[in-house]
Amino acid sequence: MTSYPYRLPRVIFLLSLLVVLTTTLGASPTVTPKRTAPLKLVTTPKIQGEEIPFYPSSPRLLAAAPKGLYLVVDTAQNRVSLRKGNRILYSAVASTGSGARLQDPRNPANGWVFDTPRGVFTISSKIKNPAWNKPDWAFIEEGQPIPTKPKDRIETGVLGDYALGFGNGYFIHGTLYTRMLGTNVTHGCIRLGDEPLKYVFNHVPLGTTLIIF
Amino acid sequence: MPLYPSGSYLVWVLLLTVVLGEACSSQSRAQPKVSSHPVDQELQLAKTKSLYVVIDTKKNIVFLKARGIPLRTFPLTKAEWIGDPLAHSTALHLHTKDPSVSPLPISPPSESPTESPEENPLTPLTVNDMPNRYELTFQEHLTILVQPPHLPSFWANMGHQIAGLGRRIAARIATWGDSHQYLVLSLDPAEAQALYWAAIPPMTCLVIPENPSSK
Repeated sequence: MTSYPYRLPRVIFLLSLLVVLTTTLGASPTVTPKRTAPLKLVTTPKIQGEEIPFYPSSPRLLAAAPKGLYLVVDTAQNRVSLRKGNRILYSAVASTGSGARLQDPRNPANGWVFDTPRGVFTISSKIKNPAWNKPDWAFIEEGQPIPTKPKDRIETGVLGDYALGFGNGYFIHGTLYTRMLGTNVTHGCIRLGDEPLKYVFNHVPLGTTLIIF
Repeated sequence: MPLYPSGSYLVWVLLLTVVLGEACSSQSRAQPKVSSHPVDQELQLAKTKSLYVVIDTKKNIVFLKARGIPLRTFPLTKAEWIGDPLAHSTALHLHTKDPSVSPLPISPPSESPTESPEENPLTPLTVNDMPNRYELTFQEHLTILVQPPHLPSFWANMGHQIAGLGRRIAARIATWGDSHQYLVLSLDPAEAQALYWAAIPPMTCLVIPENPSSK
């Protein structure tokens, strides 16, 4: 009987402590990007020959889907797949844009964000033994002076044996840094290993639909 | 003379037919058939060169699509409206993501010209860096609150539940006397991160309510 007034403050104190502890321990969203994430190859549940689930059954939606072969690039899992209808014909590990930002030292208000563009594109060019016409950011990133002569921007042997362009200077091409495949490390282009690049180059005609997500 | 009355009826019938027919056709011209059927709405999105999202609260699933093809599916644990749900399926335009994730800055090397990119790899933003609890605000007075259904640790889960309750109460207060609507989507944390990665403003999102009213 007499203990009730003495217990009440203790109960209130314990309840307050519980609320404070739970809110401080569990309410912080994971927002801050981690810079020390280990490099790893990402596997995908989508494998060659697998059917794409939930492929549109409505004939009207099917009419909007690409006819024949189409390429799909998953920037989250760094995979490229060649598809036809609801089947995945070929799938390979790739590298896509890092999402990093480089400031232009000539004008600090400007800069470049190295994202792979998302949306629906078309393969608009196919090049054998491509040479890289290095843009300004490539020299700034390497801490080198920007050349005045156009020929000093040309670098050969860094894009692999083939390149497939899909507009605005973006390409699917090869890489010297195969260890980085499966990670988001590029400046926006899509990198493939030698064999997958050869396969895609040989099977994908000009005008093929490319979907990047 | 004997034919006059029946001829008069015939003229009146013909006149009425023409007038009524004209009235009906002008009515059909004035009111073009607008469909709110999800397939019709999605077809409009599938004709574009953009990615789009379909949130089907009836089937508890979210699709990322392009050209009608599902690129990725996000199964929902729960979809819950705060306040009145949308009356019919609606295409909405994503305005902002909160919190936003800023791109990481690259620091050009100062005095290390021999260092190759492989020796000094860029530390990129990956899908694992994306938040799993966030808000997607659309231009058309809808906010989608995305949150994981539960967290592994007891205390973290308790905090998560309290924080979620707080957000719902805040959303409920915000909807009083306002047309703004809230939809809470519960997703597995990895799926929520992947959805954050996929959703880029001004992406279009087709929201299909559980019981769409026919229009």
